Amino acid sequence: MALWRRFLNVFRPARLDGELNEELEFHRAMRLRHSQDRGLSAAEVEDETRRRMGNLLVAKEEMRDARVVRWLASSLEDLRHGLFLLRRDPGVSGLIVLVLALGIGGNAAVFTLLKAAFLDPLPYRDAGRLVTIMNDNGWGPSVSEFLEIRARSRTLEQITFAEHRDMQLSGTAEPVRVFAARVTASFFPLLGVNASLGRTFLAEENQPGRTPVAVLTDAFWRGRMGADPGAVGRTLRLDGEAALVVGVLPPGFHFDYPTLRISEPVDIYVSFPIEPLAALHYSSGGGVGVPVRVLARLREGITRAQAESELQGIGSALAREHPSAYLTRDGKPRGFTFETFPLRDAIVGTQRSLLWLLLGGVGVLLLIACANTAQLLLARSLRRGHEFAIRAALGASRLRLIRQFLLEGLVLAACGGVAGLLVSGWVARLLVAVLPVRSPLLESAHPGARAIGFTLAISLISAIVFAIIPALKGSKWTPGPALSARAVTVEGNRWRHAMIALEAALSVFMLCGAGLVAQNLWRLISTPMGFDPNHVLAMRLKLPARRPNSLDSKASQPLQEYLEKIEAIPGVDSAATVTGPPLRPAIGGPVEIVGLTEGSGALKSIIADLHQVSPDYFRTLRIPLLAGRAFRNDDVAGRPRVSIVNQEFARRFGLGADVVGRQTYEPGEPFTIVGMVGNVRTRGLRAAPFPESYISSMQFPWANVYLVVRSAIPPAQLVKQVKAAIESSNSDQAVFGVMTMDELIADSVTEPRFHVFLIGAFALLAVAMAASGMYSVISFLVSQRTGEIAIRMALGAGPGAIIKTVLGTTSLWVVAGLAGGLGLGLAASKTIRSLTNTEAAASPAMYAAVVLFFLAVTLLAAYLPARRATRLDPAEALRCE
Amino acid sequence: MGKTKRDQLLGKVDLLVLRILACGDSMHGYAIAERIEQLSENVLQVGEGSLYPALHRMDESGWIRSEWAASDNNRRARYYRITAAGRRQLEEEKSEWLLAAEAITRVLRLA
Repeated sequence: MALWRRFLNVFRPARLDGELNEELEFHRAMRLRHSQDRGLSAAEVEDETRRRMGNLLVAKEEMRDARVVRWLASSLEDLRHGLFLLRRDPGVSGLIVLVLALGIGGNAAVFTLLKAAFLDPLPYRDAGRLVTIMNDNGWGPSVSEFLEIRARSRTLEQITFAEHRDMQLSGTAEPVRVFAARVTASFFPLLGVNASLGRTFLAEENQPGRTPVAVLTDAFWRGRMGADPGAVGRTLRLDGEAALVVGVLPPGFHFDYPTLRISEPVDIYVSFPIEPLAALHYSSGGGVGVPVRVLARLREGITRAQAESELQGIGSALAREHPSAYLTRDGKPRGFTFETFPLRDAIVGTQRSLLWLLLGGVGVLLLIACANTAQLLLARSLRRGHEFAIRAALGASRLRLIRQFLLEGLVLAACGGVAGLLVSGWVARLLVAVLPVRSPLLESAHPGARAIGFTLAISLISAIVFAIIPALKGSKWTPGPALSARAVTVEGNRWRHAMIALEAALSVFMLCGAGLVAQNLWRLISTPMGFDPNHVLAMRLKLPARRPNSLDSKASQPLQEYLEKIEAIPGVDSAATVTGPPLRPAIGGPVEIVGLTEGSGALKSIIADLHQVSPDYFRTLRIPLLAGRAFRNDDVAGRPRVSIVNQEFARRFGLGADVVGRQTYEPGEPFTIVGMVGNVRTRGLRAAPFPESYISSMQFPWANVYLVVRSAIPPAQLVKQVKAAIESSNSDQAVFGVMTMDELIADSVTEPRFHVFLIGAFALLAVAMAASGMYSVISFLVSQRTGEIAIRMALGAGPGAIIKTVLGTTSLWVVAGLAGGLGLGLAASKTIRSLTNTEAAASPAMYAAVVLFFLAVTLLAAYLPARRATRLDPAEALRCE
Repeated sequence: MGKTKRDQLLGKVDLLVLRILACGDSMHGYAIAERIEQLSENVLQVGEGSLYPALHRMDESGWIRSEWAASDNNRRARYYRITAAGRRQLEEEKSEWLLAAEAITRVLRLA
């Protein structure tokens, strides 16, 4: 209680003073009355009272001290003093606060993102119990496998799957393509989401043969249906089939994470017709069917390990019961299991490394900011030697002086922290906006109390980190020498130099990282593409609905019709379709050549990408045919299956042009390789060629294709003509995702480009801070040694000698920092490469460039103060001394 | 004169104040000073410079308690009253002082 009152008194000095004065005034009044009672004259009364009571200033000070929490009151005094000093030097203080705001703000922003990724609850009911289920080959289970898991599992409370696909929405003004997810009825209950309008799906709606029903996302409902409250009950035409809208989802709901291989935001959810046929997939001998994304909720009290061991059991049971479905390519049975992953891990997925990269970057920046602040404060503490010497001489303890420094540091850090917190939300949004991939989880990031707490904590820690050395150094004054003569501050300078070396090391380290990713980007851009991207336009279309994978020979007809119409446009050289154009992801899988074994006798197997192309594809992209023949219009279903491979494919099997004529295994009937083409950069992030095989779309039509058109017509005009040509053939055909091949190339390096942008920005900031640090150290040294320099000049020293005097020590420290930074950069290069998916190591030339760049910046920072030193007028300078 | 008197008292103000307040009445600072002078027959004079800091210190230590109240001259005054802890402190200091005073007296007599 008493302590609390003393604590309060610190903050109400006026009230406390008033009470003390009143008490003493009362005493004075009593003494006056007493003297008057004794019959003294007014003057004598006054005189006696003054004599008796004297000067009560000291007494009042003692009384005040008794009434407050002393350390707090004196801290406040120091704080006020510190604030005054900071205001007196607004330039330096402003710079420090700015640098700290940057460092702390960056960290707060990244913390906000990390919090969203790892700490904040996912926006689904009891998300800790949600898992995704995968096959041991890294793909999702098929519908047949899903049905088996659902029937057999005891550890899962609920299970659902989603299958994503483009669908054509027609019957509106212009046919549009929508991105749809076909799900089971348990999808929404499992995630704990209710429709905001209407309802979600019913179990019987997954039965085949019923009218499909659709649930719209809020964005689709607002964007495409004008937020029409009467939307529920309306009928849409999806892929030519009528679908009844039964509900609209709430605004915040989304389940379309790219990390779960859901490439785009979902527009519309449709009930998945689970055909009894799905269970038959096992008997057909054609594998187990198309993979879907399976989500499950663990039963209360069941651990993931328990669920996983049960699922592994189910997996092996399936492989035992249906040996024909789980075979290696050469027909031997293989083991098979399921794996589970916590939903959060699956969603964060590959973004984990990005977040670590960000954290590392802002962490190093904050460290540099602290070092920079420390050396600026150190300079100031040396300049304030006089003040501290006087305070020490007046009896201030060393602890009190240290506290003064720490308090000033705290004020700076608090300003930086508040400013950092204000910008952190903005920085976080900026970071998410420039991310190379869509990330709904991070988009929903918001600072919240934890981020504020974190910001306060790092502000406090950085205050201690950057103020401790100036505090220890600055408070170490023996009053005598400091007051009598110009203090020699060699030791303080050594610490400043150490800070400079640290800044140099960290910024060189960042430059090494930036150089590494920049070199990688350059390699990716400058590697030949293997095709001619000029004057090629790409767009996507989805062929009219039909049963996918159908072997109907008429299936490719609409495609042929479109291509003929497009090629008939004057100015169009050629047109073709492909499932995965260069630089875009393609599906791939293991391939084996008949009769080609390894030493051990097992079949030699490689992973190759697979594309379905129309006959003119190679001509359209100008991919050279190196051996054999291209596809012909008579390579249709029913004719012998043929494929074309690239050079890398042949090389991996130790073959050359003689790969033509070989056969590859395929369920049913093998493929005959009829041609070999040049390597194409089909995987954007890789410079090294990848094995590829092509099959003809006339033999194996696929519904989702890219259309590539080579023409000298300007893209905007060409798009209109192509659309018109397609419409003249089929008015219900939606065309989307129009891009020139050049744009596609630029698009393919977004991730490496982002890394260059990110690490480059970090590195430049770091270098800027280091340069400003060096500038201030050298300027300070010059001003400190003006007298010495002047005497040397008077004795005939030339500019070279002066510069050597001024820069000698500093340059040694900077070079030491540079070496340290290079070492750090080399040591961490493996980590940086794995975090950024960089394939190649950086070349010595890159490191040389980093060193040269840093030295150039150093020279720039040193130039002005060094020039000032050589231009000193000795007479003038010595007079000032 | 006054100065030396006050110096003699240094450190023993607490003891005297506690003793005065131990009579039970709550008193303001001026009355306490008066009473000390009066009881010591004007030998001891407590200066305000040491009385008030002592009062405030003891208040914070919990030996005495203070409150504002109207005084006889119609002004607000701060009245002090001894607490149980104060009485214990008084006993302790008193016996210490008496012991020391006796010892000093003995030494002075014998020397």
